[in-house]
Amino acid sequence: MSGDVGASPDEAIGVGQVAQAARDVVEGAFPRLWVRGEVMGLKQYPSGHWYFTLKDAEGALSCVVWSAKAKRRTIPAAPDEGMEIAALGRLTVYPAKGQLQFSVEALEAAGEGLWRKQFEEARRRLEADCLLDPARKRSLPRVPRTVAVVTSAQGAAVRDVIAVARRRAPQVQLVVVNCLVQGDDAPASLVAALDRVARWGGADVVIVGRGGGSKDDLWAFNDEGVARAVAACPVPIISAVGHETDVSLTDLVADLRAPTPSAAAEAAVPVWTDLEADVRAHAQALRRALAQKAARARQRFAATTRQVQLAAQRVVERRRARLEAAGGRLEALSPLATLGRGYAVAQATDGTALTSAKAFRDGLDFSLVLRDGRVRATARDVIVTPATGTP
Amino acid sequence: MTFEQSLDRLDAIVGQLQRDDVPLDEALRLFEEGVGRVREAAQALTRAETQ
Repeated sequence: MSGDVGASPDEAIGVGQVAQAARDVVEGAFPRLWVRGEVMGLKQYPSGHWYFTLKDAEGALSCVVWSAKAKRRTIPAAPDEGMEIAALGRLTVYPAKGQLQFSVEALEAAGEGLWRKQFEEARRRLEADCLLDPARKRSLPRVPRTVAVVTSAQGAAVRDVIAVARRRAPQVQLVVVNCLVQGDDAPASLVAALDRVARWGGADVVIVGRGGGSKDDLWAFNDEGVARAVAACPVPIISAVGHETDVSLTDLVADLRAPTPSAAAEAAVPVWTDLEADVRAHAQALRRALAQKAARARQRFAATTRQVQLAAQRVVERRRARLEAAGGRLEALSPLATLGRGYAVAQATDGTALTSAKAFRDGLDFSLVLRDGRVRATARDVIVTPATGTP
Repeated sequence: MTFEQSLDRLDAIVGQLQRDDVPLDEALRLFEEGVGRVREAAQALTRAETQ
């Protein structure tokens, strides 16, 4: 611009031209800078652009945020009316209105207030969708065959998980699903990776996380979209964002929150030798129980058998006593008992007793039955004593 | 003949032998039968015991 331009009515210049000149001067004079003040009259348009005024006792500044949604990493949430914030941006002039304007790239409130606000808002929305319900929490499988690890293939987290899992159970298969865990593209990358795991369907457990880092490094795990992808995981999922103190959104929706990736691996992968010992102990207990049962049954059988034997023996003994008594009575009545005293009985060959001399004829064969045997004999000189009347 | 039947028969034989009017040859026959019954019953008892 020459010195003469604008020096007289004849040399007057157009408004747009001067406004654009002013913009060049302003943009050239101020570097990117942080400006502090209170937020007034915030307006959020469907286009994604925000307008508000930053004020303090001495002045005011019109601010604009272009495509606020795309700046979630630096502008986590909309500030409240009257909130004291610091805004990072460039000072410019909006030629169409001839207005000084501050184009904001980042917002920070005292005590991470905007982050807390974003977190709380997202938490409330997740809660409204019942994604924080404790009843949703699934228990991990005792022995997983395959564990998917959703994290950066270059990070410390994946190394820790692999080391812990190999030490505990080399039999458990690990599948690393590589994705970005920090930076502007991390949320979309995490969501895509979780989606891939879900569609694949081959994992029994999923670990999603990363190693420790600054608040800024971990912000992707506070992304509502990532939290919803974690909540949608079809198999039990462990959130392991490397920090002990703060809870991330993914921690809230996961089935288990592990303080570190190593702890997640310990939760997901059992110690194989412990499992083997457990199985052996169970097998042993089973065998012992079986042996005890068999021993008890054998004892009972033996006792019963003994009782039956005793009962049978008593029956036999009672009968033997009865038989012996009957046998004794029979013996006492034996017609042969008399023979013991020296008498004999004459028996015909057909066994009938010959009790009268009249039953004999000369030459008759008969037997003499004595105490200790019998004698065959033949009759001779049969002499019948005549009856002499009753004695 | 069962053990019980043998014993019953034995009792009957003893009862008959106790009577005075039994002829000697009848008594001898009864006695021999009784001895047979005692042997039978004793064998039945031994069998029962060894089972």
